[in-house]
Amino acid sequence: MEQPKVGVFLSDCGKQLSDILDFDALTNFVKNVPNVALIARGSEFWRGNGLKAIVDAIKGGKINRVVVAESLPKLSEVNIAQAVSDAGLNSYLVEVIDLKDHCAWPHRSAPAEATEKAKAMLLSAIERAKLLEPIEKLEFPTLKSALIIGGGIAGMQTAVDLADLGFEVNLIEKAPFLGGLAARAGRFFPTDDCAICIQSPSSDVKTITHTSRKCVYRSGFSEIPNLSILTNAEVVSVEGVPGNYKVTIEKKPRYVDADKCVVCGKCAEVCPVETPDEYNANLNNRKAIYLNVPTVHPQIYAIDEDACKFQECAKCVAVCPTNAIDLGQQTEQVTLNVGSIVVATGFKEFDSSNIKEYHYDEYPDVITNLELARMIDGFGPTGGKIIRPSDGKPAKKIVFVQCAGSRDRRYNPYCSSICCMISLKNASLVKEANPDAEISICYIDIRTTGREHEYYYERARDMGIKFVKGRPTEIYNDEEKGKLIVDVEDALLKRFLDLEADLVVLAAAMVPAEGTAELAEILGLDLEADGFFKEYNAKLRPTETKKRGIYLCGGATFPKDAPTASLHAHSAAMKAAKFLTSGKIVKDQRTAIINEDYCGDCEFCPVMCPYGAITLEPTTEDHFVAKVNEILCEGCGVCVGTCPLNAIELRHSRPNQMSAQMNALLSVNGTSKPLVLAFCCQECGHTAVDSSGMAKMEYPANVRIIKVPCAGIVRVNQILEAYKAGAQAVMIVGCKTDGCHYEVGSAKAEKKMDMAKILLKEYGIEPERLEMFKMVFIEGAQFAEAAKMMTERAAKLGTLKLMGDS
Amino acid sequence: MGKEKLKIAFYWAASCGGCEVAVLDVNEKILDVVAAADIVFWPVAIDIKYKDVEAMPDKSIDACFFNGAIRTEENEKMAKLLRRKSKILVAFGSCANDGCVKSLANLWEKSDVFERAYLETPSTVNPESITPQTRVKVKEGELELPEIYDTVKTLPQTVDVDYTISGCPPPIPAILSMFTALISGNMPPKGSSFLPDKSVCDECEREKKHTQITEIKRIYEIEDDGVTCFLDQGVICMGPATRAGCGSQCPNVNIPCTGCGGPGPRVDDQGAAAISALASLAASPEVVKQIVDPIGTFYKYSLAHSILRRKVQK
Repeated sequence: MEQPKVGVFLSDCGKQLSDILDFDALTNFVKNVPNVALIARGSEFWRGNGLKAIVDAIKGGKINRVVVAESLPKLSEVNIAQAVSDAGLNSYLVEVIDLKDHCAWPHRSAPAEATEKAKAMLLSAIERAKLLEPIEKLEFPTLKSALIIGGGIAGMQTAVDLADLGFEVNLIEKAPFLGGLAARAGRFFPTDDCAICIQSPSSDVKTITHTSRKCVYRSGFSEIPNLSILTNAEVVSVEGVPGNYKVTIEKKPRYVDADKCVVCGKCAEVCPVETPDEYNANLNNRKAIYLNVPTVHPQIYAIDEDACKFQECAKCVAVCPTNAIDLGQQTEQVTLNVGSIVVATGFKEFDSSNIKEYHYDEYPDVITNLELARMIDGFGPTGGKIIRPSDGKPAKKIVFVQCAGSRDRRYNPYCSSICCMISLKNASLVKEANPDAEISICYIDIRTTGREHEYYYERARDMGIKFVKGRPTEIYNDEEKGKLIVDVEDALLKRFLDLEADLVVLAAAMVPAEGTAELAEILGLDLEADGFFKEYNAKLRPTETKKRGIYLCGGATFPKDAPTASLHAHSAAMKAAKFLTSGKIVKDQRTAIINEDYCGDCEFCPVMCPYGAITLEPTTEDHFVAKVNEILCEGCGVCVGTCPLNAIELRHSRPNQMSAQMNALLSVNGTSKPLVLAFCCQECGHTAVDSSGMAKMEYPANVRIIKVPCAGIVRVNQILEAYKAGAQAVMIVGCKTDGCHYEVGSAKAEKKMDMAKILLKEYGIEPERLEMFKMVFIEGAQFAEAAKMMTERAAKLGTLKLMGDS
Repeated sequence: MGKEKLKIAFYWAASCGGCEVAVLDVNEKILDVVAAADIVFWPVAIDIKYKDVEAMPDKSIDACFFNGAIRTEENEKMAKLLRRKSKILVAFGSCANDGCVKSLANLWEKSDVFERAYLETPSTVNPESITPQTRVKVKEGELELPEIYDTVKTLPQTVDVDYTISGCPPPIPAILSMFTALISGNMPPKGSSFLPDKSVCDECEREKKHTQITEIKRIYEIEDDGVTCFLDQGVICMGPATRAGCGSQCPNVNIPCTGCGGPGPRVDDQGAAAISALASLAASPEVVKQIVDPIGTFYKYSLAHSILRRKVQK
């Protein structure tokens, strides 16, 4: 490789910096650093003539490495990198540092010390620049197709969006019919419009105008040619990489041929089997061959294989006019190759039988909101009548119990967020249809945070629905009266009430859908503590995951009402479309590289990698070595920080680069204060340093900053080396644990630092000389405080006397 | 046989004698060595005095296998002498390479070590409270004795070394391949080791899952199934951070690796490397706090060959 010829471009930011720093001293210092081929001073180098000077020096062959001291490097770097690349030099051979926010401004009251620090910063940048290596762009082709898992309100909308944009879309649903939980809800709040339309098969695309319907499901999704729908189907395995997933799906038999069934219903008429109808919360029986409701999609009968007697009976086969019934159908494995996957698996009601004091599985007249919704639905088991399941008589007195299983540390500590509105909706609908019904809602807090929601609550009160502030302690069955008694303390009136009820409706908590954990395992996604899928970033990337090309929408991330699920669905579709549209993934090769000769098959890195980017591959000698998948690797270095043999390195942050920087930063002091080295992650830690400078917060110049990709890359070895190189205290500044840009890096760093502190104590080094801080960008003040604190600590503890090399 | 026989030497500095035994553990192969080489110096086996070595011409020894750490003036003097007299100097065994258990003395001051070893230990009878001195008067006159140093060093920290072969003691196959190379005249490039570059895990047959460690256990606290990785059973094993070559002898007989092979070839600090790896695997910060005696656990064999080398001196 060509000898490094470093060009150093010193911007004084329009004299802002030269008023504080001694630029002549800096120039003289840099001049004597080996391999520096050019020094230029100017007022700015990220645009205009300054940038041209860099370009000309590269084109003229004077330099092959670029160090720029410029303000706001995180922005200016983009311009500089582009210009450098256009000039024919790899943009990774550039190192941009910030002498303003990291030096001149925070240390402006000690200009001489600041100048010395600036020397150290320049030296560090030059030493790093010398060791930099070019990084190329990688391109991976992607398929223009998607798989949507879950045929509820969210999954169906995402499917339609993506299909409309021209992608090949596969929608799979594990039930025999689409619609999910939302379809069973009867009506949606706060508009009380019907939920059934979401599974409607209507496909009269031509009559649909922009204003004719709010609901996309009437727009004929079932007839969209590039949307294929698989029901009775579940994902069993996913292989491959973003853009090229091979998904294996198990499709259970329907026993009815989709192409032949004419939905005449003769089969169901002759079917002798009666079995509880789970779609209607088992409030009625249905036949073994069935449709959930007449308006369901797909319009094909399905056989319930747990109930059907098959060849023993086969009456349906005999009666079917089109020979559509095939009792010999088998479970099939279907393989799909897709570029992207959207998870829309939703949520379900918590099993209320866990709550012993509510006797849900004991008293038939204790039901849940979903079961009540089925009664309210005209297509439901009671044709819209509200009855007592125990005797079928009309239910006059109804008590709702809110937060059944939610906001309860025994079960689900969170608020399920939609149950207040669901109860208000159901109570109002019942009251509207049966004005003399006596309805009470027992609540802890009524949460009506959405638009029109508070009005909904007021309307319910106006209708005469009573509200009791208190969580019922027990539900009794008064056999003499033939009523249920709900024991509750009214916290507002401070009295105990025994509320009589024909029907008690539990507002059951909403929990992740069946199979959520298994699917997470298959897809390599994380779950939150509540069991729902973890989004990549709740604030900015709510429908993305840590895996490129895999998205989440609807209730898979948390219980949602229909409007929110829709928003989510469209967002996921947008993200998936953005990913799929170019037909390729282009990324810089900022990845980890494994030196296989030194990989000891300890198998730590594959489990540490937050992206599943490392796998173990067999070698010829019956041994295994780690391999990095370059599509999946995000270049954080958590693996590097773990490898006990130093067999892994990041191409853009090699250990020799880091150690050269560290030594340079600690080689110049210029203050009487003890040197403090701060390893700052490039995401939050380093930007917190930026913000402290931008806000002109002061801290001592003896604090030296080394930027690392992620706090997780830092090894205990480097901490010890820092002390050896002269640091009197060491700081690690990373993201907040939950906000770590690389998922686990900050948490891993914290554990390493805890252990390092124990080790330091054994070495006779005060553990206070090491501290981990977790900050976000705007916490510049915290950084300045931390820097001051560490300086004071080190000063108080005195100079470390470590053994020299002799 | 016109070829002149090789001249080889063995020396022990601060060591236990195990490395001497390991030389003989090559069994009948030692006969090939003796057939090809004359042993010109080996304090444990032949009576050659230091002055005889001093009298040898420089570089007259073809290869010297030096085991033991550098703990005394005598160790250092002999290291320098044998370096001068030898064409090839091999750091043989954990003490010479990494300081081994001897270098755990670097956790104390010399005076503390003396007090413990010569005065406090229950088996010591020392009514006059005598501790090692550099000069002592006996009836024949005054004797000069070598000084014991504050800090135990490795051989490579003392003199230039051509080859290294770590382990406590070095694995027999490695010793054999070294002898074979020497006899055949096919020694690898300077700086080579005769050990694999990988870690003990590479040679260990146990199954690794590496779910997070939730509790640190001692070996007697588990019912080892003989199949599962010790780390997955909560027992600290130094295998991942320890240079291979032993064939995973200890884990094979249901004892976790304690790290005698020393750090991997690219690692400057075995203990810190092990800690970085294991702390990452801990389920919570509380778990790492359960590790007692981190230096004894992670630097049992390598404190002298580490970044900080010793405890900060008062």
